[in-house]
Amino acid sequence: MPVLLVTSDNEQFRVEKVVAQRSVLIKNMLEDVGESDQPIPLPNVTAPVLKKVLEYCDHHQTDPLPTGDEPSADESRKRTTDISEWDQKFITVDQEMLFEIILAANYLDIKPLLDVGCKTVANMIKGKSPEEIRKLFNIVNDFTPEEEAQIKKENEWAEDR
Amino acid sequence: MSTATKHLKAEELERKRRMLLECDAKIERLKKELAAAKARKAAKETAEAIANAPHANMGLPRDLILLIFEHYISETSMGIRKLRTVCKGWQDIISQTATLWTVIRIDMPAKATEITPCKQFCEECVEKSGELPLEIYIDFRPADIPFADILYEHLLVPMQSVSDDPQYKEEVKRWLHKPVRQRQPFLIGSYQKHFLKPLVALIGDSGKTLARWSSFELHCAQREETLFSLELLGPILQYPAPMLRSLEIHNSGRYVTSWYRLIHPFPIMPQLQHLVLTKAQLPIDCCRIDPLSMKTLRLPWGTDVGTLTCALQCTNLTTWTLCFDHKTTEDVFMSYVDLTQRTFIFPRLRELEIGGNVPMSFWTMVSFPILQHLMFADRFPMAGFVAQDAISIPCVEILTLPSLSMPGPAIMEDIIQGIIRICPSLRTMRAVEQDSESILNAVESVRLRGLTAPHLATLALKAKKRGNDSEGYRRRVDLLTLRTH
Repeated sequence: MPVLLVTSDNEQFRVEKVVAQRSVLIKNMLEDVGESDQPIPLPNVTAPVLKKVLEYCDHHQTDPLPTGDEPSADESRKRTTDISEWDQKFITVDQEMLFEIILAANYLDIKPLLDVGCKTVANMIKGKSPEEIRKLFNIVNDFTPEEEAQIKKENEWAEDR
Repeated sequence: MSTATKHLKAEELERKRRMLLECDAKIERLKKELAAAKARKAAKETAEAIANAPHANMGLPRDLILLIFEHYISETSMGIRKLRTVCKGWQDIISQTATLWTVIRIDMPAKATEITPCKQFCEECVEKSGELPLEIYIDFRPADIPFADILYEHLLVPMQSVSDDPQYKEEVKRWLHKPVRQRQPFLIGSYQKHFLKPLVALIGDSGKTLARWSSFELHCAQREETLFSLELLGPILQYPAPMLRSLEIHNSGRYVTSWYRLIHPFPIMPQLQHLVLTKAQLPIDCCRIDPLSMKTLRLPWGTDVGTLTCALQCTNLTTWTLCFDHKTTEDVFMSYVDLTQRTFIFPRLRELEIGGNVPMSFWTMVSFPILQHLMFADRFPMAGFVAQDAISIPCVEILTLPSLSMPGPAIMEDIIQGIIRICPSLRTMRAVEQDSESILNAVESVRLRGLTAPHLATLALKAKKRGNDSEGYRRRVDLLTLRTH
C-alpha cells in the first residue's frame, strides 16, 4: 500500500510503504495511525531533499533495518569512513544539498543515510589543513591572532595520522 | 618629643597602615572582580562568535558535528587536535566531549622528533577522556625501517638523538664497538626507554590507565627482526585488563611470532569477547578469560593444547577460526574419547573457518546447530569429510572451498555428493576460478543421478585478480540454469 508524504513546500510524494519505512520516524507514525490514507506531513524536509532521500530508501529497501541498539564497543571501534560505490555516487551532490540530506536523515531517523552523509563530510575534512577546511565550509576563523599563535604552537604535530 | 606627641604619631601611623591594608584588600577584590568580568566577557564573546558565525557549524547542530568528528577520528585520531584549530565552535565541541578522546590511534614514532608530540597526544587523551573506556590502536609498521635499522651498526643515530645525557652517549659509544648480537639487549632496552614513551603513557602507573582499555589492536612491523616488538611489548603489558573486550594482534611478517614463549601480556581479561590473531600466537586459558563471554575467536593456527581445550569451552562463540595442528587437535579429542555422545555444542556459532588439518573426530564430537557459513581455510579434507555418514551440518547455507587442485571427475562427484548430503540447506558454494569447470560438471552429473540440494543455486568464483565484490568473488554461476553472471 502506498504512503503519501507531504513536504514543507507542499509537494506530495506517493511511495511504497516498504520504502517509506526506511525512515524510523515515518515507520512509527504509520504504526501509530494504523491503516489510513491520511498524508504524512514532513515540515522539516523540502521536496528536492525528500526526492533524494527517497532515492536512497528505494535503493536500500531490502537492506536489514538497524536494530536501534547502541553499537557495541567493538562495532564503534570498527567504524570507518568507507562508503559503498552506489552510496558514493548518490552522495556526490553540492555542499548545501549534502548538509540538507544529513539534516533530513537525522530528522527522519534514517541512520544508514545519516552515516553516509557524516562519513562524506569526514572524508572531505581528511588531509586538509585548518585553513583549507575553513575555506571549504566557509567557516569564520574567530580566533584572535594571539590565540591562533598559541593554538598553532600547541598543535604543531596535529596532522592526520 | 613628648610622650603625648609620640602617642599621636603612632596612632596616625597605625591609622595609615590600616588604610593601606584596606586599600590592598580593595585592590585584590577589584582585581578578582575584573578577572571574573573578563572571563564573563570572553565567554559571552565566544558564545556570540559561535552564534553569529554564519557557518561555524556548517549549519548543522552540535550532535551532528560530533557524529562527523566521530567518523573522522575512526581513522585519524590525532587529527582531532587539528580540528580544534579551525574555529572556537569546533574547539569547544572537541575540548568538551570526552568521547572524542577515547579513540587513540597511533603510529609508533619512527623518528626521535616524533616521540614527544606523540607522547603528549597520548597524555592528553588519557586526561581528556576522564574515566571512559579507551580504544587503543597501535601500528608499528610505519616505524619498521628505523626500528630494524637500529639493530645495525651505523644506525645508532636515532638512539643517540633521543638523549642529551653525556653518560648515555658514552654508553652508546661503548656498545657501538660490540658485535650486533651482543648489542641487541642494549638496543631493545633503549628502544623501550625512549621510543615506547607514548605507549607507556597509555599504560599509566602500575597499569592504572591500561585498566580502562576496552579494545587493543596491535599491528606489528613487517621485517622479521621487528617481530620482537612483541618482546618489547610483553613486559610492559604485564597488567590485568579488566575492561578489555577486544584484542587483535596482527603480524605482517613472514613468520608466526613465538609470543607464547614470552611473558604473557594481560594476565587477566575477564570481559574479553573478541580475540583475533594473525600470524601471532597468544595462549589462552580459562583462568585468563571467561570462556562463556567469548563471541569471536580467530586463531589462525596453533599447537597449544591448553588454548584448544579452552577454545572448546567458549560455547557462546558466533565466529570461530580454528586451524590447529592435527596432532594437537587429536590429542585433545582423544582425551574425550571415552565419551559416547557429542561433547561440545556451539548453539550460537554462525561462521566457522576451519583448517583441513583437523581430525575427523572433530566433526563427530562438535555440533553447530545453526552454523550458516562454513569455510575451509587451506585444504579440503577430501574423502575423510565427505565419506563420513555421521556428519550433518543442517543449517549451512554458504560453503567456501579452498583450491581443490583440480581432482578427477569421479573424486569431484564424490565431493559434491558428500557436500549435498552433509549440508542439505546449502544455497551458495564459493570456490576458486580454476575449479569451476570440474565443479560444474560434477554438479550436473550428480543432478542427472537424481541427487540435488534443493536450495543450491549459486556458485561464486574467486579469481586470482581481485574482482568487483569486496571479497573477490567476481563471477557467479546460476546452478539452476547454469548461467554466468
